[in-house]
Amino acid sequence: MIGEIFRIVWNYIRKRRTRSLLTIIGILIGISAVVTLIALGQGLTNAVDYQFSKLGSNRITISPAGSTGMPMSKTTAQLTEKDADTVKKVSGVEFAMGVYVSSKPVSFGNEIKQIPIGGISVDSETLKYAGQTGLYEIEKGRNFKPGDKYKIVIGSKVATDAFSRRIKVGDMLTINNTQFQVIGIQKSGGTGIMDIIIRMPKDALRELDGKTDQVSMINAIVKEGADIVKTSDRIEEALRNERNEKKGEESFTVQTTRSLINSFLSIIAVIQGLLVGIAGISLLVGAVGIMNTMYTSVLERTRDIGVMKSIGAKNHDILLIFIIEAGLLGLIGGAIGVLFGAIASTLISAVASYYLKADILRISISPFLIFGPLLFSFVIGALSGLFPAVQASKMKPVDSLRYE
Amino acid sequence: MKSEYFSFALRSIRRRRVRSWLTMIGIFIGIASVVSLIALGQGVRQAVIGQFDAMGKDKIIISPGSQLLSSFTSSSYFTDRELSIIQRTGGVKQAAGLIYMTSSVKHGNEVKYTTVTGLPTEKNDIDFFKTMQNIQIQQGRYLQPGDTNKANVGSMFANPKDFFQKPVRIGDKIEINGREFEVVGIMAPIGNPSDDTSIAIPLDEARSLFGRKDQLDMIIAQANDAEEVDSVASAIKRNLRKYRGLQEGKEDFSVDTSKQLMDSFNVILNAVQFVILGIAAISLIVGGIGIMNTMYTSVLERTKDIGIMKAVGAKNSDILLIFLMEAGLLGLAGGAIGLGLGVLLAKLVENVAVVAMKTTLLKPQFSLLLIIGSLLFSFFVGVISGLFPARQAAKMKAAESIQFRL
Repeated sequence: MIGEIFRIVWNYIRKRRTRSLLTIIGILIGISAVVTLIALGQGLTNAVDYQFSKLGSNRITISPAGSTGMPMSKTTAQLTEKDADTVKKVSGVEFAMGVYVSSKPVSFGNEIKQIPIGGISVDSETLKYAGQTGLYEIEKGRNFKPGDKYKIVIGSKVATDAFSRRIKVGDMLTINNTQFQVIGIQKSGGTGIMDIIIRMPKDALRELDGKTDQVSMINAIVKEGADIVKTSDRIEEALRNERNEKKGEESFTVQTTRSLINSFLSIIAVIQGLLVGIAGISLLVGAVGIMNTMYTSVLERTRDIGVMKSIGAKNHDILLIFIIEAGLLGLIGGAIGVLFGAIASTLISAVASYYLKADILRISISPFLIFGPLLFSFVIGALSGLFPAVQASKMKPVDSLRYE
Repeated sequence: MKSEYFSFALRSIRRRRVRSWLTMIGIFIGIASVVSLIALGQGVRQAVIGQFDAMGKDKIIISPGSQLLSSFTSSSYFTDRELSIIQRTGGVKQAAGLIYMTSSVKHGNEVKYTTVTGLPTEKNDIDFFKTMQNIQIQQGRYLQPGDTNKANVGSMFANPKDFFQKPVRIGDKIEINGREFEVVGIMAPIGNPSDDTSIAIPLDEARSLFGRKDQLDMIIAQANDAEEVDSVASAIKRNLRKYRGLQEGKEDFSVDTSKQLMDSFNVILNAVQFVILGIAAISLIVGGIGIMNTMYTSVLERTKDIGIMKAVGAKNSDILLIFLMEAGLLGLAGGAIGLGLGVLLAKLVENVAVVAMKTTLLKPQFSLLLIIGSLLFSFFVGVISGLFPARQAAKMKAAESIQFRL
């Protein structure tokens, strides 16, 4: 029975070739746009997730309130070494260190530049964990060792771009009238502040600054097996108690790597939702097209319906024929649309990675992205065909046979 | 003769009522989304241009940071000495600087963190910033020369729960970074929460309060002549570079004219609008395909009529025109309804933005060009979609088509 219905439907779709084709194109365009945008959004999300996961999922960052996550933002809220010690003692925390960043005029040759300087404790424990937090890697020269003082490690961009002459390991830089020797150059981290910073032993930086025990941010590593969310809640509570602050009025913020990613991903999700929503409008228009085609189809086949009914077809048989026809139009459009969407998104990501020279899109066409739109397009088609099909199924055989 | 075509087309549209409606829905959904998106984009542009206009074309903005250190140098700054270098540069009429800090602010028992700006309070500096930033005071007064421990607060401070639970009133005392300030003025809403929750205090007090003696986070200069603003900007760049001992192209600060800033903003807005409109326009293509489909069906159904018309002397061009008109009419009617819906939609988005995001930047603009353009455009979408079906109709042979049975 169902096989027969399919044959009737298929014959009709083929007979009205132009109309079927145009109806299918209407759905196809919408589905390919939606599939492309979802695939690109998903690819971007994957890429961001991947980048962040390289940072390590066991890190917690504590920064002063209002500092927008950047270690040198201008804010009156301050963290101190005492806070770092408090964090260190919280259960679940493996290690914590205060990072102190301050911008200083740095001169090399005849040039002077303002460059951010990061202070690092050069005791063996901190140095060991600094490696684990993925803080930086050394490309040329060596890392700090305990006892270093007027030595610096510089970011890759500081070496190549900051001054007109390239800085080499062993060169001397003058910072605040004090001479520092470059002992190492960091490997490029790809983005951000890591490449444009100079690191020096914290003692030397405090000497330049004359400041007390202020830190710009505190980095903590969570013990293996400890729950990162619970640990970060405990840190927040411990700091609140130590600093005597009320809940909701903290002068600091505690963020896990995950919460950082999530706030970023939620922005992507909003943008993606907006674009997919706008693209979805064309699907709506395509669905209206199917409905239109089906009304025409019902009208044209009024006589056929009459004949079928008079030789015993029941209402629900007629209903089924038209719903299947509409669903099939949607499904075919959806199938071609998924194909086009997959090709388009792969092409766009290839072009993007060629021009930007970075894998900013990690496209993966999941089964969900294939079968979801297929099902969706079939349902859209069937739904659009519902009203016309109901109209067809309710026709009286006598009237419809007489229809001209 | 022409009007006869028109009534012919109209009759055909009205006879197949359901089909005509569905075809028009296809067009008006697309037009409605495109119209509302353009209107909103235009509104954002207008709002921003308005802010730049208030600023004037003769302004030059000098800010720390360069390509190399980009946004990470928020800790670098200018000094008073650098300000005086800028003031002495040829062609500069006046220049002034400000600082900003994120600071704790206490009102009653509540403590929150927000941006505090230190503004110069000498007479001509006050006038300079007042006209440029387009700041209106809605209650109380602006900062004035000789003010000590006085503050202006953003409009959101005045409303309960927008910032503090308890609204801030003129004469109230607030504590900024531990020092008490009296609120002497409440600013009128600027339209975005970050500006509307900021606080302005005299520059000298901000400097001592935040331990930033002699520092400036941004300097704004005015050229004597708006025509020469570009050459004045490059002179400032050259002088600052020389003072800091930097090579050309290696500046750790940037100098932009207000026009350059506006241009770069326009480039970004154009790109965003282009992408969004491009995606929205997809639905118009689908709608156009719907018209084409309807017209093919319409031609097919009227094969017999076409045969008869031809037999009684209708020319190919007459038939072509009838069907083109029908298609164009479908597009135009769809466009007109779409335009109306688009206006409503844009207004809706505006109101939602005010309530949900507290921004008044999204004020849709409906230009005459947008209204007439969208109507014309929808008409053409219809005509172009009807082209193939109409040609098919025009080329039919009279003898064959009269015999046609569906």
